[in-house]
Amino acid sequence: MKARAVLVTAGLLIMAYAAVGALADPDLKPGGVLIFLAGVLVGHDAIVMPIVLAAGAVLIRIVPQRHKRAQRGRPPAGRKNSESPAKPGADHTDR
Amino acid sequence: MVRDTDPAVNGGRTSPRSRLVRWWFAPLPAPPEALRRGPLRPGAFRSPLRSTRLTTLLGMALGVAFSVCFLTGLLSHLIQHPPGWFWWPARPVWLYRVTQGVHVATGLAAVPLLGVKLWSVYPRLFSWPPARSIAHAAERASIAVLVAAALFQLVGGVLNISHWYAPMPFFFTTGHYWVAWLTIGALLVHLGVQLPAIRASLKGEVSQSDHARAARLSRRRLLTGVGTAAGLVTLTTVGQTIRPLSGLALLAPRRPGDGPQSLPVNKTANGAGVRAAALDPSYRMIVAGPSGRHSLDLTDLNALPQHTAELPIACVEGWSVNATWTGVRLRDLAALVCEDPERVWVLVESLQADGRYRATTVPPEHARDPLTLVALRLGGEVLHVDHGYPARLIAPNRPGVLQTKWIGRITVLGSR
Repeated sequence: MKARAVLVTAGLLIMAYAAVGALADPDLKPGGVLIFLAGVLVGHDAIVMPIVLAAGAVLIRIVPQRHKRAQRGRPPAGRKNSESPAKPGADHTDR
Repeated sequence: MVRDTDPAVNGGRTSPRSRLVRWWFAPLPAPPEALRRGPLRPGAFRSPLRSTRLTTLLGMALGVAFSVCFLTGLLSHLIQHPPGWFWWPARPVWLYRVTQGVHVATGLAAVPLLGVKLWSVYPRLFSWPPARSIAHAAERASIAVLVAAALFQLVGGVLNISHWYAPMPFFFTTGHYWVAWLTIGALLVHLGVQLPAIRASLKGEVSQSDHARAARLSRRRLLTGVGTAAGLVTLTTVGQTIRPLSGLALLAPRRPGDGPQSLPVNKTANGAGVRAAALDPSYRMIVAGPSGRHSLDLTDLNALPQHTAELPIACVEGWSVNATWTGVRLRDLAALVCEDPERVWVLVESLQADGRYRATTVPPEHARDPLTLVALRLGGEVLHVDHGYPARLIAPNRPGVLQTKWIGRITVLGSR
């Protein structure tokens, strides 16, 4: 718990330093930085990743079954959520 | 993230801290189930390749890559904007080309790593309910900052080495610097929040079922694929600084043999608006200092002792090329206008009317170095105007942007 508190506190302080430094830097337009930050985030999550997933779904349909190596790991038919990790509850990684 | 499950009670009343903690972790009302559609549906993402372990391994690789990028980038920033306590040596002459080459190569290798890492956690973007508590919402917001900052750095970096600045509504160098701090801060917060999950996955807490084993094998292939992609990106770009690999540098925007006199050019004389002044036959270089002022034309400069140095020009964008430079030692010019050229700072100014890099200050350890030249020739030929004709600075172990081209004035500032 102590290590986590140190990491989170140090991280928040560094983020605050970045924000204050960016706002105080006369060479920087913070509005432009914010627009670009939001742009790359939305562009990735709302455009690039859906296109990648759609392309993957199309590939799965058109690639012959014998070449679908990655599919070997699919759960047996009938299992509802194949997103579940190997050990229930182990997938805590969040975003 | 300290969770207080046993709030202190004083005389039957909870303390403000306990109330704050309770509010912070209190469950938020769930949104209507009717909204749970599309990617929010359970089981909307079905790839068995995703797992905490995969995410952790990719995260570790990215953590190393971003740390290396941050440290090498910070070093480059300090060299270009040295605070009073900072000191950067003139030797070894190749040190900056290595640190900056590593900076760019690591950043490029991180592109496929970040892509797959974000793919591995993409379903979590649609986790339900979107926010279980204020604490959960704050954690998700910090991850949004981390993802945005990481994408900002890599996308911006790639745009920079491609010299495509139109999509970035800010000055790249400054934005890249401050968002680097933001990225590292958000990375530490993320590491702190996810530490238990990371530890658990590294302990190998995985099931041995056939399905899990098969999925793990596929994940191994996926990781191999990601590693191969990162390796290929490195192999096809690192040739911009490692000459024997230049033939493989298909993705590198600059290669060692490009440009006039087989040396790449970032800023041309036309681009700097300096062509006419540089080619003016009446050109004179002003050398000024505490004990005098000289106005030297090219004949005067060529009459001074000439020296040759084999030095790399190492760009902040990662490419670097060794070249043979010939000209006058900067310390010999400083000696014309001061008594002790071994300990002076020297301001070198370009003929450019403006521009962020029209002038540079050379610290004593570089100014007195016998390899630091006001170069008049490159590879035995008179400098091409895009390489800084009539005269340019070339010093060991300095970023290319500090190797001022089209020198118009040299001012010895004295020792500080």
